[in-house]
Amino acid sequence: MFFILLISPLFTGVIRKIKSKIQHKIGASVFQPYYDLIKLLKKDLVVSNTSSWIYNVAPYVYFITSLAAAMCLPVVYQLRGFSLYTDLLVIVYFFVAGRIFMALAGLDTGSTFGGMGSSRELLISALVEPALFLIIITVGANPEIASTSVFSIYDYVVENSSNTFSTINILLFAAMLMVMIAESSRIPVDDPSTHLELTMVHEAMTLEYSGRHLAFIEMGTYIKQLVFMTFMANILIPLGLNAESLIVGLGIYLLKIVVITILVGVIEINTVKFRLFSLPNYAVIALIIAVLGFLTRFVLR
Amino acid sequence: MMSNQIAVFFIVCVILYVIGALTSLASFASPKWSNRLSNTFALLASSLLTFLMIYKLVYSRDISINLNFNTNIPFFTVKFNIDNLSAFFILIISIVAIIVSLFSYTYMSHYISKKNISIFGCLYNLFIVSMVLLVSSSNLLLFLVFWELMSLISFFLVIFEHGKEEVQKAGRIYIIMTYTGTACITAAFVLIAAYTGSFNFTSINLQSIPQGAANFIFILLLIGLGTKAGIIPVHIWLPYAHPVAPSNISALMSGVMIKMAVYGLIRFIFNVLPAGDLWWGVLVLCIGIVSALIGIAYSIASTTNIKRLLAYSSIENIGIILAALGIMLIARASNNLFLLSLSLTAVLLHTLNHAVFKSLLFMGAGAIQYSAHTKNMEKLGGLIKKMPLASVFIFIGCLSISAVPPFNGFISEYMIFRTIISSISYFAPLQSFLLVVILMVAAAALALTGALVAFCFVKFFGICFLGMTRSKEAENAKEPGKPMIMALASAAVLCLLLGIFPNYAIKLIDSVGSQLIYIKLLTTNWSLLPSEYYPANNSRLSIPSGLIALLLVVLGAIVLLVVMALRKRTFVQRYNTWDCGYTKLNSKMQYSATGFSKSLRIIFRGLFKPVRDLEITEGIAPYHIKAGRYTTSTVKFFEKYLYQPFVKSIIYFSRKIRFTIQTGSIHAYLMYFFGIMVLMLLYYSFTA
Repeated sequence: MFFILLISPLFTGVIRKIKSKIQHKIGASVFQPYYDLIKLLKKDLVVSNTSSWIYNVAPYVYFITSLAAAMCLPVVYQLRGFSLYTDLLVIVYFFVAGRIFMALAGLDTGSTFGGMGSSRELLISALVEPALFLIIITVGANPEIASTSVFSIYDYVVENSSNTFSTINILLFAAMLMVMIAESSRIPVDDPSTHLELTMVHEAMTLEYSGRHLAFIEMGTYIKQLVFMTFMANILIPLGLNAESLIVGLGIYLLKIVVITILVGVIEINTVKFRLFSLPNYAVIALIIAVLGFLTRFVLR
Repeated sequence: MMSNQIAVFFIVCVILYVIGALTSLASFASPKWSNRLSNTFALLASSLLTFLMIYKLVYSRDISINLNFNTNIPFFTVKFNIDNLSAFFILIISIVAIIVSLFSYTYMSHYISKKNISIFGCLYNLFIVSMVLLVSSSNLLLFLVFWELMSLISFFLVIFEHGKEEVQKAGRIYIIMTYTGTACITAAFVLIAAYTGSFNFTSINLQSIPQGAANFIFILLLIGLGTKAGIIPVHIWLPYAHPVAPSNISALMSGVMIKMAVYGLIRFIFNVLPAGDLWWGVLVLCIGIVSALIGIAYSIASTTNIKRLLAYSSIENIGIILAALGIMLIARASNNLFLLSLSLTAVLLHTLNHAVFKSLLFMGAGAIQYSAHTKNMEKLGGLIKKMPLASVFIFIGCLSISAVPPFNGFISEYMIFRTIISSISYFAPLQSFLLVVILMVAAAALALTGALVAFCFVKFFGICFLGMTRSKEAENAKEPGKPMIMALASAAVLCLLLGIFPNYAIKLIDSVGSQLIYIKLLTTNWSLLPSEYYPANNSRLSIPSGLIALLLVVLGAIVLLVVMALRKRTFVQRYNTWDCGYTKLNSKMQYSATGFSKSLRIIFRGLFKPVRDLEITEGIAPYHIKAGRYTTSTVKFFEKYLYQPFVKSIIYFSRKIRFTIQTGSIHAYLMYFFGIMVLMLLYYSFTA
């Protein structure tokens, strides 16, 4: 958990760096997100007059639920005991909790942008939710696991890590990548670097925030993104998860995450942001890929 | 305590309710007192009943409590039998009744001098007692009697404010739908009695109903009970009746009354009908999913009335319960005991949880209406500052229904997903692919439903409680009275407790399951199964809900410490919301409830068929707009495309009949009589 807390901003930095490199720019240092966070933590805050306690509490709840979700999904196999024997569904519902608080905070300031952002963010996450659940169910409903317990899934995955690049895993990986992009507000769905009224989603919701509030929100988003990547790296490409030593395991894990980050960066640079109302198509594509994964596992064998 | 003693206490409770009803009626001269008396007796009786039923479920789970009263009417004996299933549902009724009675003390006071409180108090008590007796009835006739009583009393409670036109319309729709349902139930009961020769739940011989008849009875029961539950497409009374009823009655109706249908289905599945085919379960599962998805879509997109929103959300929750019930039927048909017990647990747990958080939310809506005098979301806003305590508890209700850990909604939602996962992993190796695909669709649909619930309740809480106030009424809102706050608080605390310690609720459900499944599935010995397959004990199945809560608290404390440290160095400035540099923001510039849900209306436009109307009054130039008016409306799909054609065709045929058969001439009528008589005589002579 603390590992994820420490390294999660790094990968946002890596994505930015990759995007810059592809555009033949130098780009900011990969550690820039850390500098930003430290700067934000030191800054004074402006809080809207209209807002209530929900607004003040939401960033922390968002951060805490993301962190709790990170805790439920261990980065290496050896540390699975720390997962508190929880469940993949618990992780999903932790994110739901954080999202609800953020959406309410968006409405709390009485600003039009906030409401618009909340409405869109909830819509997008609702649209990709079926795909996300199908991925989880395809992983968990495997008769040899028959459970969504993180512990049993890790055990199963480690035993079967030899056939990592099976059709099922590739399909689920593709679906999860799409879900991850939507959930962590990345480019074809949302543009994290723009502040244009008509296009922003997540940024609109958090528009009023400043100082440490904003730092905690940013941090929460980084963690959330890394939790999704961890899911992809450890459960969907379990290659090397059975490494004997902790250090080697961590190294393999980091390597896999970097590969995913590069993938995300390349996707971002090659696509444009979709219109809000073409997002259902995006979500349906993710869903169909997940359905194919499901059918491959349970029907077509 | 022996079963006789429990029976005696049970009778005492029933008598207490009746006394409450009578004293409320007797003190009609002083509405204040009749309000107090009726609620006090209801509170007293319900508290006693709660303890009694918990005692029954925990300490005397192997016995059933029988109460017999002989009557002179043939075939009709008044026999009550409280087994664990009945006890569990009585528990739900009494818990909700305690909370709602507490709430009614203040809530009803604003009807004093406007309406007849003493009759209300009387009906209120009778309503509760009719539901209690309904679930303890041990034969079909008695079940029907109390079913009717419950429906009729609830009808009178719905039309309590009968002066208003919308109330009359709601009442009409409610009574028509209720009687359609009752007709189906009655037909089913007649068929059951005809095949088995018995009205008693316990003595019905399941094997004596042939499969074809059983299918027919099952469909009849599903329509009949489903009408009360509010499944789609026979749901149309719910969104009318709930908003116009007083909020305490909506809380009871939505929290408890619609669950009577769930009780009925479980009772008939286990005690009356044979195991049935797989398609029974698939049908119920599909109905459940459709209800859940369409219910929540309507809840978000088609209304700004807070109580109608909650009514649609009840349809959604009943859908979720039915989906789990469908899996239960599938498990029963395929004789999978593990899945059966798991799905039964999911059904009952969600029934209990929904009763708690939905009554909390309806009472919350009542509190909003009580202090802000409006049910329209577009006129609310900023209430979190006007009623801080009430808003906290309503917020807990919203989190609970959105399945946020560690609140109770999460646990039952989790159970339902686990049920689906277990059934997929059971049926996939058996090559029942169609079933697996249906289960997959169910899982995806339920996931979408779950996410939309969060959308819906962010809208509900965000628009009503946050931001700026949108009207004068909301501006003057105050915290409601102490009993109301206490009622909200107790429901909220219950939400939290059931979320952190679901194992106690599951223990109660355990006794229900062991009795039901053990009695009816004697072919396999339940106790021979390894104990870890039992839902409550299986660590792979249960989640450490207490640990999750602890984790959140610990992380919260750490973050709090960090924030405290940071706070010393920084300065917090309060300033206006960013208004893009224009003049001051006002409440009309906020996102409205209609605007918030617009994207969903567009995505589901096939269902809603949204119509928008923009009227612009132009000033000196085309771009100089003096005034604008924007209206948007959605189509009530099922009413327009299912009910209206039906009603129209009935009216059409009635007219036809009027002009061809019922011409008004006495000669013709006399001829009809004569003709019928001749036909009957002919029939008699041929058959005899």
